[in-house]
Amino acid sequence: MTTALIFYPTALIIIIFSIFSILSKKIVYSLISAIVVFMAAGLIFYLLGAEYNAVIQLAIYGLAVPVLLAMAIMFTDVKNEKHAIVTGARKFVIITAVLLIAMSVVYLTAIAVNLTIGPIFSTISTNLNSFRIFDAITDGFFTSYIIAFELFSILLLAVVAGVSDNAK
Amino acid sequence: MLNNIGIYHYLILGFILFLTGLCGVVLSRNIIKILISIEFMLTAVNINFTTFGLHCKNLAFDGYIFALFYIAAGAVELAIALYIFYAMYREKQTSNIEDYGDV
Amino acid sequence: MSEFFTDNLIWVILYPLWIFLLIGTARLFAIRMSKKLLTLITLAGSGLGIIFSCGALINTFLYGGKEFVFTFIKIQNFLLQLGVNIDKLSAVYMLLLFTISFIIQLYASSYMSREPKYYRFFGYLNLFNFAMCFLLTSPNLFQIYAGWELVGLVSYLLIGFQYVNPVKSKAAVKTFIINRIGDTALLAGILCLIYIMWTYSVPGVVTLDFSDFNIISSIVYAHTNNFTFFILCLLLFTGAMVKSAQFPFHTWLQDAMNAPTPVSALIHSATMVAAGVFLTIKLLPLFTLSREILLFIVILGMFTALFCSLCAICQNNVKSVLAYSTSANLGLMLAAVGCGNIDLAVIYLIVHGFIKAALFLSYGMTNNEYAEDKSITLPPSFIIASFALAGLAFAGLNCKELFFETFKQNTFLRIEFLLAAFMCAVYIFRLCCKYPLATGQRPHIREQISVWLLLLIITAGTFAVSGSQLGVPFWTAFAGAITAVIISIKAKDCNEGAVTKICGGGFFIDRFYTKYIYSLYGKLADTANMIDSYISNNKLLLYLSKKAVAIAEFIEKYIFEAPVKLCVICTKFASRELEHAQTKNVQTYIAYGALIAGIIFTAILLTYTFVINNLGGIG
Repeated sequence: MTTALIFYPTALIIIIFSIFSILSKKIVYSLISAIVVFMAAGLIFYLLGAEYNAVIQLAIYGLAVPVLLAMAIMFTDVKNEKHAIVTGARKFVIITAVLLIAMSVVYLTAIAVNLTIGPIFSTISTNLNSFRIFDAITDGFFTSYIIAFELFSILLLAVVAGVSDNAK
Repeated sequence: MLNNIGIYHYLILGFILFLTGLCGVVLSRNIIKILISIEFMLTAVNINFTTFGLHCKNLAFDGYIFALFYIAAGAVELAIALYIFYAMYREKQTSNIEDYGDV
Repeated sequence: MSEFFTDNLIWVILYPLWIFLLIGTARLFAIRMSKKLLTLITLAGSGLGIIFSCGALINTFLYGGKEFVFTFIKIQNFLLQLGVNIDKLSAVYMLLLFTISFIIQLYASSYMSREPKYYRFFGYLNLFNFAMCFLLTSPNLFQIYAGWELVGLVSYLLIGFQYVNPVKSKAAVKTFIINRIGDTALLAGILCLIYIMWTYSVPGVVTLDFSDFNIISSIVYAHTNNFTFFILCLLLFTGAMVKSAQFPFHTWLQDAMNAPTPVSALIHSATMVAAGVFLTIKLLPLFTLSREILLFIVILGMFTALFCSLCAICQNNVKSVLAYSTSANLGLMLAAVGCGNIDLAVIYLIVHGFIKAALFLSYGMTNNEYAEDKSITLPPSFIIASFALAGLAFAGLNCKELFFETFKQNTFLRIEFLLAAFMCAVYIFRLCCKYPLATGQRPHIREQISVWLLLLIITAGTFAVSGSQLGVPFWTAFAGAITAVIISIKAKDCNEGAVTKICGGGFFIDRFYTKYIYSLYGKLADTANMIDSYISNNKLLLYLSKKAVAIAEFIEKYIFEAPVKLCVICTKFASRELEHAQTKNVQTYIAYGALIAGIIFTAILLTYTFVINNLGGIG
């Protein structure tokens, strides 16, 4: 019950603010609403029991990424556009595509609900223990995905080195 | 149905966010806004990953780990994209995507 | 670990096929592969084959054979299965095959280095390896038949390898056609077996599996009379007869010598002709039930041995002599099988395979087809190997002694065998005296290595094959060798005289085929042509057929072509409309991509729900 109470407002915030962020004419407004979306996504992660992910989400998407984007906006002196979104054929094409996909997903969900009513909407009663999840994550990082982990660290290093070298 | 939040709620939320991001990528004129939309799509994918990581028993929280990788990859991608944008901006002095058609 | 080799042998069997496909695909897309890489992967396949078949042999001795089978086609109670069946016999055969293949591929890498179609040659060699393994590991008669055809195909491709030369391409066609006779006979035998099993077996399934061949044989024997059983066995044996180049069909082996020398060594003396012996051994449960067929096998084998040896004496071409000698030796093997001594047949098969390969390779070492110099010389290794072939030394000697032991019940057989051994020594030493010893030539190091490897194996075989005492066969062969030396000193060239002409021409069997059977076919074709022309000149028939053509044209124009035209119009319309999508703008591309993805997604979903609603779910 508490999950539902938190989930619906958060989902609503995410949807509304993401659409607003796209439709807004002023770039700063869209950036701010994007921050809201990212923070709310962190909350969703928390609801899913992934506290670690939530923290990382807040730290990177809630702080670092907006700061980067804000710096970019400041340095480049981006003008506000007259029209937020493009007009013309492209608009209709993408709207048709989105509607098509959305309709089929709704249909799919309806089928799934009809086929198996019981187990889908019942909450999974795992006794989520943060330490257990944390253990699993560290286990995953340092055993199964050790190569990917190391590659990512190398990638980050390369990006830092490359950007700072080229920014001169 | 409304009280019990299950796997489908999260998946549909991620789906809507993804579609919003897709629309943003296609329809925006401003490069910064396109980047923000791409981040929306990444976040949507992350929500999906985490949902499956929780709800699929045999995955053993692998979805969480993938989501973490994805966050790192997204940050890196954004940094590089911004760098490229800045480099191009120094020549053209505009942030409208339609002026960069001849790259 | 215990049965590692038998479990994983299947990958080694499939490996050559993959290489063949890889080479084929690379050529299809005109990708250049370096010769070195090609040779290396081919050699790796054969080397792995040696290791695995050796391990499989040991495993089968320790733990018994193994069989993996999957069903290919199932029609009521007829079951067509494919699979891998590894027992002692097939493991030994595969060891022989892979060892000789390895050595010959090593040899060919330098022998064929001047060949522009090098890649194709190696592709065929790989295909041959696969085809042979497919045949040797077959768990039932159907797969043997499939392998039989595959091997025949590869043989055709390799004989006609230099197809620009019309003689060679004709020889390839001739070989293929003569092989077809055996294939047809084998197929007829298999069909007869299926028919009998289908009719008389208790409601079980017809698989013709080798594992229950004893039951099959007894069922077949119980439900046929003596004569029918003999004919059935003869049909099956004819397949083996043709592949092993026995008496009436031995002529294809001479034509097969048009292939490049490594191929002659690999296919036409060492491994492919041995398939006939393999089939005879596999079908022995059936053959043992009839005394007549066993007698037939022994007599035919002995007769071929004598006949082909006689032909070989008067040949002047080295490869021809070796071809006749192969037929003769295979006859000896079949005679041994007919006498029931399978072990000896297999041992002699291996020994003979190595000796023949050594002879061919050493001949090719100094007489390369791609070389300028056409004068024929023989290297010392040829003479060493011919000692082994004549039965004067090494493993050949031991085998001849064993043959002499086997034929001890029948004096007649013993005399025949001694005669064959005598003639064997004569023809091989006549060659050695006829052509000068090669001096001063320095063959490529890889060719030398492969020839000496073969000689080493032959020498080692001396200790592996028991029964080494200087008995009657040795002295017979010795006498033969001395006779050969005397003959060649007395008469340098034997091209004159009626006897030599008849023997040298192979008793004109080939000419008989071309003259009578060929013309018979011509007459048949003429008759058919006459009937054809009579029918086609009939007025009524012509009128009717014209009407039928008109109707067919109408149908084609308005019923079959209309959808195609509609498709064309639709495509044109769509392309004209979709031109607008190409705007050089990435965002537009993404939009259209999303649209297409949405359409596909929806289509899949609708199909899926349609299937669920109408067919009641999948599976």
